[in-house]
Amino acid sequence: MNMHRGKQFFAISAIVMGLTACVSAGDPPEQLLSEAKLDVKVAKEAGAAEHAPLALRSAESKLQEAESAINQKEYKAAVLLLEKSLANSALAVAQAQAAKSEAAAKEVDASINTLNQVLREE
Amino acid sequence: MNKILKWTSASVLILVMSGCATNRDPSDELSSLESQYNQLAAQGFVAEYAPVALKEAEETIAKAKKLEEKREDKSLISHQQYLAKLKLDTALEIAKQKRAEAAIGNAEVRRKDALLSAKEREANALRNRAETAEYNVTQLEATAREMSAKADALAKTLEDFSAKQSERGLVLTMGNILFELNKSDLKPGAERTLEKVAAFLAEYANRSVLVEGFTDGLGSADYNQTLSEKRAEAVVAELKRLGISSSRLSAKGYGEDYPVASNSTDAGRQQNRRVELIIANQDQTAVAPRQR
Repeated sequence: MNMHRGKQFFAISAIVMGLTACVSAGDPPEQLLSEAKLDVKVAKEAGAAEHAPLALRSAESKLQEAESAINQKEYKAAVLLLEKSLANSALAVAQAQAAKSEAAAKEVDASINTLNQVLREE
Repeated sequence: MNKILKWTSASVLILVMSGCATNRDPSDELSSLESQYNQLAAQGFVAEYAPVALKEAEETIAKAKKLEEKREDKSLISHQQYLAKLKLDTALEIAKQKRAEAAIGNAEVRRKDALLSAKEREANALRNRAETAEYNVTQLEATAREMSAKADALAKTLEDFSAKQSERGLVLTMGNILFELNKSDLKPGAERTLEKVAAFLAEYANRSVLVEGFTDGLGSADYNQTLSEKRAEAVVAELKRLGISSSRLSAKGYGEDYPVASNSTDAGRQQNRRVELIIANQDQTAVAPRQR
């Protein structure tokens, strides 16, 4: 009788240990969630819809998945999804800012070339 | 109890697969990430403009590698790899942004440079023009001096002949040697003189020449005017005969005007009876007329 219970206990704790990676445990990741929401907003404001649509869409969908994971109390899974969302938002912002800066640099370059042309014609 | 265990392990399996699945073999993905990192690091501008972002990507790759070495759960490894990929891309984008901003900052310098270069070119052009003008003036002066010296040398070989530089050009003054009193046809001796003058003129072939005739104060003004014109024309005709191009030559008479000495003495009157041959300066197309 005792042996049987011991085996079960061992089996359950083994499973529990194995599950620590992906089993829901602890508190809902509130801070991470609000960060992820904010970063999606920031990405949109930086012009990600135009300049980084793929990264923005990934950020948004991972956020949505994280929200439903939280609803199902699968907090560990939610954390990973939120980390993915944040990384996508960061890329989206960087892409949008790079696109804008490069466009501005190109314009400035063109204006200097024009200036040089005009000066040489004098 | 068994049922609960089965249910738990089943749901765990589903959870693992839905949350952490990956398409690629983790070790392949890791090599790909490492190679992408190396490529970015090799391009100087990424390390220059986004060192922090690049480091973060590197650390994430290292984390994924460690998890793999420890044979951790594949889902954890692929999660790190997923993040690492995004961080590599982010590092590149940040570097591109910073590089573009640097170029914009640089633009002001380039603009100033362009304006400065233009000013320098302008200054150089002005200096060149000034130097050329200076050189030209020097050349003119040298030629004028040379011509004057030659004329002086010529004067030494001829009677009744003098040379003098004036504003209107080089003035060769010839007197009685050319004409008898009241005559407008050249004396026989005049030919020799005018031959030498023609030779001199030939050396300065592009110069205009004005021959001016003058008489003394005796006789009527009209008579003297006509006489002086005829004498000037006679000299011009002779010079043409001696080979001087007619387009260079012109004749003018001034009668008794512009005396150079008093008409009340013989010597003075002799001086006033003259022909002046003016050779235009190098930078003049024609001899400037006398101001009456």
